[in-house]
Amino acid sequence: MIIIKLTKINLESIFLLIVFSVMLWAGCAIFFNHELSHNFPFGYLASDTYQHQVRVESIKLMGNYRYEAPYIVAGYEDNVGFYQPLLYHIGAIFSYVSGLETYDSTYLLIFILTSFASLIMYLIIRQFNKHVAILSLPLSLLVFSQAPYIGFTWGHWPAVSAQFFLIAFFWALSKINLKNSFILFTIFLSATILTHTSEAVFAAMFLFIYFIYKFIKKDYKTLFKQALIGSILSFIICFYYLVIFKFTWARMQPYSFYAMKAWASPMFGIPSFKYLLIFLSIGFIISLFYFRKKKSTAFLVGLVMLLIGYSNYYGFGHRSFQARFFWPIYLSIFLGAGIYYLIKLIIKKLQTIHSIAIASIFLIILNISAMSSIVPVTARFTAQGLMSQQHWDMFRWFQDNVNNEKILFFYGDFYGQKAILRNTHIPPYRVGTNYFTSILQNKTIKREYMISRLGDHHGVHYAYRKSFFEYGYHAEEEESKDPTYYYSKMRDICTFDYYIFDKVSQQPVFAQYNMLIASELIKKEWIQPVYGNDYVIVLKNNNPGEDCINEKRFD
Amino acid sequence: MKKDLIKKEAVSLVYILLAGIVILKILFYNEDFPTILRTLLAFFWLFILPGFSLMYYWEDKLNFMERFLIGVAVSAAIIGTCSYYFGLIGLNIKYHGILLPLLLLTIGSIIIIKNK
Repeated sequence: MIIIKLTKINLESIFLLIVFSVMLWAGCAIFFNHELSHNFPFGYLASDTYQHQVRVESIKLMGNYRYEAPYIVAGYEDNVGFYQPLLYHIGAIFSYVSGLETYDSTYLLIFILTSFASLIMYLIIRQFNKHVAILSLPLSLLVFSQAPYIGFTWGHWPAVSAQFFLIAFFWALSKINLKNSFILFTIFLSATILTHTSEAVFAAMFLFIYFIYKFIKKDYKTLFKQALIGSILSFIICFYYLVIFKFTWARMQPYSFYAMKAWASPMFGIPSFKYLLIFLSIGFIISLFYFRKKKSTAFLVGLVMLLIGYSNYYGFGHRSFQARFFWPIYLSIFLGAGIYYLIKLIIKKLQTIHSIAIASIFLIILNISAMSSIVPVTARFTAQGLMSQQHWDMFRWFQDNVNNEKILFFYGDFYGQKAILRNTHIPPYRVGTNYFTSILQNKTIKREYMISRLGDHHGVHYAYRKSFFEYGYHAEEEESKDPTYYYSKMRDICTFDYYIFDKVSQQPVFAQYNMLIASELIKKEWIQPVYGNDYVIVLKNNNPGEDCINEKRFD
Repeated sequence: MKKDLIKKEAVSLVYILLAGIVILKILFYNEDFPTILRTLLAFFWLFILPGFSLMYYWEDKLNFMERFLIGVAVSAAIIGTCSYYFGLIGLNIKYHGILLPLLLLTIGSIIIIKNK
């Protein structure tokens, strides 16, 4: 008897281990070219990924997140650390202990936490029915299908990792009858707030609906007491950051009701499930009958997160699309229930091995690209991303050799993804691409260009603290003095200390124009090449302010 | 709390660690073994052991699997939150990877001893 029981437990554990491994394989092993450590940020496909990478690295270098690093915020040294800090901190610590670079440690962590999120959802569903939980698990794999995958590769990292804590928060609610369950409530709610505050709003919405659900079932007293204590403690724990949040994000982007039908990024929607919708629909209908059952929190999670995923139609804008990244996990209960009750029509006495066998078939199907016309499949590919070894070497050269001087990037294919340029660890300036194109078309070389002073200001206008409850905003103050300050304007290239030119481009004419400007600059004896490789050249201007270039037309 | 249970669960953790090494080596076959081992040990040290030890507080109500999986979320949440505030009060983040897990493991040990 004991042996049989042990075998059962092990079978389930082994299955979880396999699912976890498949998730890591489909999520990041292939994407990372089966390497944990890379020579440069690998698989970074958009500016936002670099935004997070640079911030983690800056916290590691500064030792804390009291302020933003100056190279993130256009050179200001007193800008308060305004982004939700938790992910950055665990990314930096993981880097220290594992020896991985921050660009690898944080990225890897996102995938690992997501894989754990699916297993925690499994625990929630298991409270309802073990077979349903096993049959639900394969759907989680679709967080790595095409549309949700941008949550990882395009840098929605805080939203993704906050949803890991959100699922843990759901689990804590499902276990609210545990002794002192407010502890778990507090830990997970605080973590959600400190990782991505939007998900804390989702947590509050779920809590409200869960309370009504419990109230109707006349089982609300424990929930009320524990949630009240937990909410107060979470508020106290997060108070310091919430003050920052109030004077930064909440001031610049106050909540306003707006409906949004589409998103500029690929969207995951219900039709994305294709023929799996048959099972999901059956599971959804069945869930409506099971609401009265005691342990049906998983169904409520599915229903509420389905509604939140559609909240773009009733006021949450693009945040709802971020919730959809995790729909394959939240809605997995419907797949599991759908399959389970269909199978029950055939097999009356379902055993764990049966459920695992069926789930394994789904696990395989969801990884077969040839099935993509029928069911969604994982988007497995290897991508180096925007960075090249040569560009990374250039960034590292700046980190090691240049301090607090003005640097100017001319055209580069990926320099439009501005957060990348913060990897110099110097506040970057960049020639505007549209302007660059227009003067190229006019066949001129000029001394003044439309140049942007780059920084992460869009959210918070370079907020700094005057006192604990009083903030100033550099962008607004500078603009009030000089309306042309903000943030792109005609600037004299001769005032810069360093110039960065890409030698290669997907559109060779840009690289040729870059080289033409560079060759004009080095005609002045005080301007010299100081770094170069096959992709990029760096010039040093030893007399900033001197006339550095002869304006002219060329043929 | 039964001594046997802790012993048994410690063995289970070792099995998971060994399985983790094999799985990571298969998935990340282009990576060298020392990097895989160090990464996995770092993950265990930071995100598994602290949370798992703290979850002994609910040992009588939650099984091994629940405490193991939820422990990861507990570790990540507490270490991330504490690291932010410890940094703000002046303790450099480079020490957090050692100090915070040690602190949580100490609290976890107290819980285990008290539950005995």
